[in-house]
Amino acid sequence: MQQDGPRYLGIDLGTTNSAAAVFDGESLALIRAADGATLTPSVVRIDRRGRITVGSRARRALESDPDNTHAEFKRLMGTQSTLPFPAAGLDHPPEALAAEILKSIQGDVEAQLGFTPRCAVVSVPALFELPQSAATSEAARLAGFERVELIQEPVASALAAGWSSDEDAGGAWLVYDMGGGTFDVSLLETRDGLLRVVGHDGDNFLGGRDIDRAIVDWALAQLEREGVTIRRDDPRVRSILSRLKAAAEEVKIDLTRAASSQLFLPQGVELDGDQIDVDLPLPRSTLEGLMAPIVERSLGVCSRLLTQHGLKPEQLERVVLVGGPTVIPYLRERVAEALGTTFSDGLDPMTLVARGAALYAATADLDARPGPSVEPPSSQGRRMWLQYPAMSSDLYPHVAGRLLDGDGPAPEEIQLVRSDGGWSSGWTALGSDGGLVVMLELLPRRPNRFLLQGRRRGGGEEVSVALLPEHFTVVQGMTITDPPLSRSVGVALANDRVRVYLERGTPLPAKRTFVHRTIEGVAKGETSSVLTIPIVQGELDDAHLCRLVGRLEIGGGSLGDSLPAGSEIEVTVEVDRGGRLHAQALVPRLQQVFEEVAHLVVPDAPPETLELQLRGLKTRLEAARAAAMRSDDVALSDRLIDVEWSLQDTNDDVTAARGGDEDAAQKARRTLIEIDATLAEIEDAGAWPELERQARDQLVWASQWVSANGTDQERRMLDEAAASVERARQGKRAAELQRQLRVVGQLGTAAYFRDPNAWRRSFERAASDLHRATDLIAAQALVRQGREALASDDRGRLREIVNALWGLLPADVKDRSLGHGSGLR
Amino acid sequence: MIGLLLLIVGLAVALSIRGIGPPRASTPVGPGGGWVRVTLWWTANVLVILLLGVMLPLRLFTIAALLLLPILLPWPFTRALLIPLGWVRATYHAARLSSLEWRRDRAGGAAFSGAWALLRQPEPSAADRGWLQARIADAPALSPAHLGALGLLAASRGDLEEARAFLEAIPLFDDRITDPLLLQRALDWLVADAATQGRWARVIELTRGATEISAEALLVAGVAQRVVGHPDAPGDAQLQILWERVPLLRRPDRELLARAGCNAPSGVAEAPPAADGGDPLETALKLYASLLERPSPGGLAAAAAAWERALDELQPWLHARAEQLGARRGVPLEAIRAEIEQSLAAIAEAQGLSLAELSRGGLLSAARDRLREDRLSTIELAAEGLQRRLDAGRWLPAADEAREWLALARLYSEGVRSGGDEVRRLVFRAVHHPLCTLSVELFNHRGERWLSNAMTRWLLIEARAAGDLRAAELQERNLRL
Amino acid sequence: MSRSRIAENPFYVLELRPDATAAEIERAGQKLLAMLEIGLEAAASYPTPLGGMPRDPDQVRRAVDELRDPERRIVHELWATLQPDIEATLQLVPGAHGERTEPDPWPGAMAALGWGRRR
Ligand SMILES: Nc1ncnc2c1ncn2[C@@H]1O[C@H](COP(=O)(O)OP(=O)(O)O)[C@@H](O)[C@H]1O
Ligand SMILES: [Mg+2]
Repeated sequence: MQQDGPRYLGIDLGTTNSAAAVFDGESLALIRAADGATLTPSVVRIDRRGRITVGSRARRALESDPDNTHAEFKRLMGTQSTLPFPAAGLDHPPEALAAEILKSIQGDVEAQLGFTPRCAVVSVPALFELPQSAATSEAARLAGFERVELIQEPVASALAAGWSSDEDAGGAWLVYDMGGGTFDVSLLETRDGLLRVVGHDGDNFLGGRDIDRAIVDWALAQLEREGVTIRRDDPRVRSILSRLKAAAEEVKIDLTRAASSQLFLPQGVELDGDQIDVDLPLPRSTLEGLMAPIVERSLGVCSRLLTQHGLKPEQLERVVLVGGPTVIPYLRERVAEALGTTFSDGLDPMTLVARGAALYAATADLDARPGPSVEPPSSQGRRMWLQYPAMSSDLYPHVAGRLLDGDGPAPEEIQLVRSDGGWSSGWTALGSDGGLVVMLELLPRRPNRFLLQGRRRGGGEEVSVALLPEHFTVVQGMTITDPPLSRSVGVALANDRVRVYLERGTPLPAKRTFVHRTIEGVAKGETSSVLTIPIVQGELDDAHLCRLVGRLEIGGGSLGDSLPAGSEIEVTVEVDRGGRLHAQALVPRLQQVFEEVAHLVVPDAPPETLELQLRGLKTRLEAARAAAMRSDDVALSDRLIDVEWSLQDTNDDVTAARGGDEDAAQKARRTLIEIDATLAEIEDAGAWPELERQARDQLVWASQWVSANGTDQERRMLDEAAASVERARQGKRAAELQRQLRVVGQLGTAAYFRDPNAWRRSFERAASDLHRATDLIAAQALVRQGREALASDDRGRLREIVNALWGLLPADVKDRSLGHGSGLR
Repeated sequence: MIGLLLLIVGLAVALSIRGIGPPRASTPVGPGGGWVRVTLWWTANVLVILLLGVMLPLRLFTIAALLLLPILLPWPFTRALLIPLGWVRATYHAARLSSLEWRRDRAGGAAFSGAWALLRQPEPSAADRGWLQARIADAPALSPAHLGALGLLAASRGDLEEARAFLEAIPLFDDRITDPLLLQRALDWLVADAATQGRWARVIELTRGATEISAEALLVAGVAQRVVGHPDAPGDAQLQILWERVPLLRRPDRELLARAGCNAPSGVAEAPPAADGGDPLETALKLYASLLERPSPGGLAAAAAAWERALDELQPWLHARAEQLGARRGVPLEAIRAEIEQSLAAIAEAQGLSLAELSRGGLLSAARDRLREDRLSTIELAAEGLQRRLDAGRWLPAADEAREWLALARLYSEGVRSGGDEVRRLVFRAVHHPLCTLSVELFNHRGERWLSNAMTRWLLIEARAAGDLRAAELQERNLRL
Repeated sequence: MSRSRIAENPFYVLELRPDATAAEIERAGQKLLAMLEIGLEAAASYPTPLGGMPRDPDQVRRAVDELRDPERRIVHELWATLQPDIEATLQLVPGAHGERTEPDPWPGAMAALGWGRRR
């Protein structure tokens, strides 16, 4: 390592394990904990006296003191849940625990490098949403970092893999990252040393601990065969299960190297007073059988991502494996088979993300050393403000500079010289604004140091002028310019659509402005009247299926004047590099700006709500199935079976959620949204034929009455409407068709009621539905009066009575009695 | 003698002050009631003048007459002095004495005059605006003059859109509450506003068929006809006469006449002939770029035609580029086509061309469909939004309800303007329902009979135009109430 | 909307032509961002067929990103076919110069008709 010069710190804040690496422009080094380990388990324990233990020591307490020790809190980042430490009587949000991990890493860095780092890059999963990213930034702030940037884990992995490979392998890369509880797969593209994220996919509930669970299940089955029954939902066996789980993980890790091992609990277990020994031999082949379904599921996600981007496995240039389970030989074999590539060896899957984060810190010029990192004050010279990439994949990057005001003679010309003497820019004159732009030439794959020289003409000869800084360094290597936005951000509209402001993959920071029109007025001074601008994140077209991440409100209370419906509003949405959301609404006609964004966290998923949703979806599934049966659509029925299966899975999760499993609740929430989207799609497809049928019926009905009782104008209008109905039908424009049908309905209704017997018929129909009336006695009285009016042929009176009766009956009665199709209002 | 004089003056003052009492809107007085008072007032004035003339020597008479002028002739005094000075509160009080000009709605007329004076201030004062707004809010019912006053207040804030909406709504109100002067001045403002932006066709549209029209507005209308080359445009001599008819004090500069002279009738711009030869894509982009810079109907047609040609030849190029750049998903020509359609439609829209005028088939017709759908769903959503609010029982102050109505009406008429009667038929029902609910509520529970009445009239006119006989019948009945 | 296709076309923003290589695009982006960061005048605006436009860092970042995606790049190439030189464009369109049928506004109308102070 170089002695002076910048240090770039990267931290992989993992769900299970965290790691850190430091880069000095030339080489990468891992940060080691006091015990020499490169991994810090992401576990925090707070004891009775409020003492905080982190890392491997806390991990050991997971078994002995599970109540006051928490792991996997990363999964709760950005939610409102807090984690209890009953012994100390404390409750901490997940970001506070994450901050403890970061602090412990800070301490390790200080022990190793001799200074407390003030800047760092922290990695986050590719599919993190804005609230989750914001919580991660918050954790870094709590830990005392002055500046922090986030990078997506797969980007970091690819960066690290690209840095360590010798040849410049351009083309498509796939990053396969299986962690403790999550699985992420990303498709990247490299070209000329520049990385670009093409797409992500993943499963938030697939990872190493699923293998552990499979082993535990297997063990329970083995024990049962020996006559020992341990039921998972029995609260008394909680500690037995957690010890079993820990043992299962140990066996799994053992079997990575050994061909056979045994699941062994040293003290055995005590059940109903009986002492039971647990020592089950587990050969590698059995483990492979147990984990096969898990691996296959992950491969399914991979091929889904590839298909989505029009790629075949053999088109992949390279596959990068990341995460603990990817060291398992069986998994490597299967992935290699399915994706048809071998992997670059020599990459440690456990620390790759941290290394990449450190490399990225160099790209983002985030020197971790404490400031001020300026030149020693002893040196004299005119200051130049230089702007250059600390790290560049381009061999010919530009440096831009400007002479700052100051004492002493100003240079007229400037020259840049590479320290090896192999290149020089030649003397270049400064522009009128003191500006300078020079294209550099770099040597590949190393730090390049450039010296800055200035000169001026004084008394007919050249005089050299000292400049500050005297030199600067640019590292050549693989880079990624800006962190991409993980999910599209937009504004939800009144018609349940989304106006996308920033598309997924947009480099951050990013900012976009669009003009909208209000559909409802806001009255000045009326606090109850509020216009809401919901900011959502997600890739689905329907606003209600996207996640609400923020809300901008224009309340009557804060308005300078009333704002009528249809007013223009300019909304600006901005996301900074750390994933923080800003939004602003400008109302041009009032010259007023609103920027109070209510930031929302990942919503809680209370089991009751989930159950309600689940029931709603089941009903919709039934309806869709009935429709599919009618239309005899086989492909549709197949899709519905898939939906049914995932509904069943979700059912289990909801049950677990009721038992207090927050993680299962979040999983259920996610799946329910997905099912909702699928069902909506299926329903849309089915709605069209139904609409067409209604259009036919309604036209027949209306033309019958209009030709009998309509005026000439009405007949003409009906003809026109019929033509428009036909056009809308051919263009498959549902909204337009419904609109035209409304006109048809009106014309038909008007003509219908011109029929002398129309009111009589409507009366009879309403009277026959009497039992459904909301107020039976009033309705009966009305019917009696109606009969009298009928007898005396008082049509005006009859009409009043029918209208009054309709008021007492459910809406569909009225519609049916009018004869034009229902459900179209 | 002096006693008699004082008696008459006292009587006159008392009569005019009575108008300050309970505002007229709550106790509508038909034209008849107004006339009795006006006749009394003028008889009193003439008597006073005669008496003074008989009693006093000439010099004293002149001084007395000058002193009495504000009381005897409040409106000319207000109009000639207070409004130009921008004295909002003085104008308001003086206008309340003007029982001739504002005989149907004195309180409203006073507010309107006050707002007018506010516009004459170099920097309209916020304090005066707030004061006037409070006067308007005090009124038991919103009258057309109040609405007009709110419109002028909006204009004083620079919110011309709202000013236009409010002032344009004035003719919808009942005659019994609308003073002719209000109609005139509202029209004057609208004419001035259109002329400021050079929307001369709008000036003609506004003045055509107006019953109450000032000499100024007639003059500007004449000029407008000359500017656009209208077939009925007045000749030089006629224009001169129109100019001279405007009272001397209010006569605009001769510069206005020069404006009418210099612009020979121009008609619709010719289509720029397609730049011949060359790359069709380049030609299309050139025509398109110049269309963006200076939109014209001819230019639109030319650009559409050029794009049509360019798109015909684009496919091979797209394929080749996708191949070269490794674009695996390819670029669908339809997407590009759709985007061009949309932007051409947007230009047509911004130019106020009715989409029906545009040629059928090809790029523009698809664009028209899309735009139409946008328009219609916007109107429907706005109507639904209003209905939701009414259903929830969230009522707003009268002025805000008026604003809501006019905002929805504006969306509606914009849709009708571009889509014609067909659009009217399609969305009238959607708009009718909430507005009818609103109008009935304003009438029955809020005592806003004038506003309600104007909304009903609007609904009736639109129901007839849309051929919705049932709705028309209903609104006719409501109007008779 | 399609005005921005031309006015904010990534190729114009980066002052490149549609045949630029990927490396040239990255390089231009890096250079312009550096120049904008220290406020060099030369980077403050860029020419387009619709006239000069002000340039900001956000636009540059977005431009580079847009052109990294081959599909999106092709569409931008199409819209950047014209040279970013306004005179050349308008000369080739007959009738583009002079004979505008624009309205003839009367800025003094409000004052002349008694709605504002006469100047
Ligand atoms: N040598 C190994 N063989 C098999 N599995 C391992 C091995 N080392 C760690 N694991 C598993 O990897 C998972 C943790 O992986 P890691 O990448 O650190 O997770 P995260 O990214 O969630 O922090 C755990 O489930 C652990 O059991
Ligand atoms: Mg990980």
